Amino acid sequence: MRVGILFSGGKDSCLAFYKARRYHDVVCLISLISKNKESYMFHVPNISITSLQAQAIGLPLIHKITEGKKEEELLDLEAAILIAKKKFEIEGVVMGSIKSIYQASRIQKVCDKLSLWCFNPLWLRDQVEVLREGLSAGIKTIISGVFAYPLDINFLGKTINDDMVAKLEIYARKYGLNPAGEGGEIETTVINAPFFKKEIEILEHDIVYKNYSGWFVIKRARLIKK
Amino acid sequence: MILIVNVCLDRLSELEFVEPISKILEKVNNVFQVKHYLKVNSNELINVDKIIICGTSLKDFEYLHHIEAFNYLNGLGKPVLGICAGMQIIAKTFGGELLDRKIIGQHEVKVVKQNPLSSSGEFYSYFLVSKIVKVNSSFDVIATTGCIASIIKQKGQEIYGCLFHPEVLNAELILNFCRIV
Repeated sequence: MRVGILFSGGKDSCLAFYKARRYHDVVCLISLISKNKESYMFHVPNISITSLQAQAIGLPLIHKITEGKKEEELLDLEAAILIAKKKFEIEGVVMGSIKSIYQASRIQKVCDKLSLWCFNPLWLRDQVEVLREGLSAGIKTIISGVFAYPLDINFLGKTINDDMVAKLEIYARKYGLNPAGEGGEIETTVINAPFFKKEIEILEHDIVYKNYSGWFVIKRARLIKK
Repeated sequence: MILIVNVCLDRLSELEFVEPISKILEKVNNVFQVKHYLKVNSNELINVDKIIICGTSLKDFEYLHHIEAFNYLNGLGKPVLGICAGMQIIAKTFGGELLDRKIIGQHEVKVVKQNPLSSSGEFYSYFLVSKIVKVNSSFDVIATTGCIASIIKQKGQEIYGCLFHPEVLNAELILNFCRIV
C-alpha cells in the first residue's frame, strides 16, 4: 500500500516511519507547520527542519502552514492529506501517536473522511520502550524543546542516548513526566536514521530558555555523507 | 492459556490492535498465544482457557467475509471477549445484525446490568468503530453508550462483546475478563 507519514521530524514520527516501511511503500511525508507555539496537534520546535529531513530521506514533503487554532488546524491537516492523496495516490496515513486520544481520534476522523487507511503503530506503547526502540533502530535524536520541570537548559540539544533514556525514566517516576514527551514535556528532532540517505549536521543554533521551558532552535544545518 | 485472535488484514494494524492486548496480559504474567483468525484450528482449542478477539482498522472488514472461521465459538463453552470487530464477529456468529454507525473518540459507557467485567456506574472509553450491533434475543445488554449497546453478553455463556477498545482506557475490563473462572 502507498502510504504517507504524518511527519513532525521528531522521534515518534520517525519510528512510525521505520515500522511502516517494513510493510508498506512510504511515498511522501506530510508536515503541518503551526504558527501557534502551543499547537494542540502538532510538534512545533524546528518543524521547518522537516524540509531538510525530507531531502535526507529522499521523499517529497507536503507541508502546510496552519494558524494552529484548536479545531481549524484539523482542516489544514485534511487539506494536506488530501494533497498527498491526489498527488501521490496514497491509500493510507501513518501517525506516531503513543497515547494521545485527542490527536489519534482526530487523525482517524480525517482519514475516515478521506477514505484512507489510518495506521498508528506506536499506539499504547510504553514510552520508555519507544525511546529504547528508537535507539536500537539507529534513530539519532536530539532534544529540541523542554517544557516541564525539572527539564532545564542542559537538556536542550542533547542527544537521546542510553543515559538520557535512564534519566528520563527516573524523572518519569519522580515527577510524572511522560518519558517520551507525548504530554508536550519534550520535543525532539531526528538528525539521522536508517532510512536517511544523508545525515543532518547542525551548523548554528540558538537556545531560547526560561523557567524550564525552552527551545533548541536550529538556525543553519546541512546534509552530510553518512 | 489465553488465545488472542488477531483479525487484522494488514500487518501494520496488528501493532495498534493486537500488541496492546498482549502487553496488558504480559504485565500480569498471563500465559497467552496470538494467532491470526484464519490460522485458528478448532481442534487445538482444547488447551485454550479463554479467547480474546481483537479489533482492527476502521477500513478493514475482511473478517466479515470469513465469519465461518469463527464457527468454533458455537458450543465452545469457554469465556470469550470480542473487542470492536470481535464484538461484530460474536454478534454475526450468534445471528445478530450489524448496522452502519461510526463512533470515533472518547464516549461515556453506562453499565446497565451487573457483570464480571466492569463495576456499575459510568466510565469513559475509546471508540473506533463503524458498525454497531443490533442486539437480538441471544444477547443481554450489559452496557450502553447513548442508545447503543456497548457491551453485550451471549445468554447462558461467558461470551462478551465490547464495542469500544478497553485496552485504551479500561485495561481493568480485560484483566477482569481474564479472572473469569
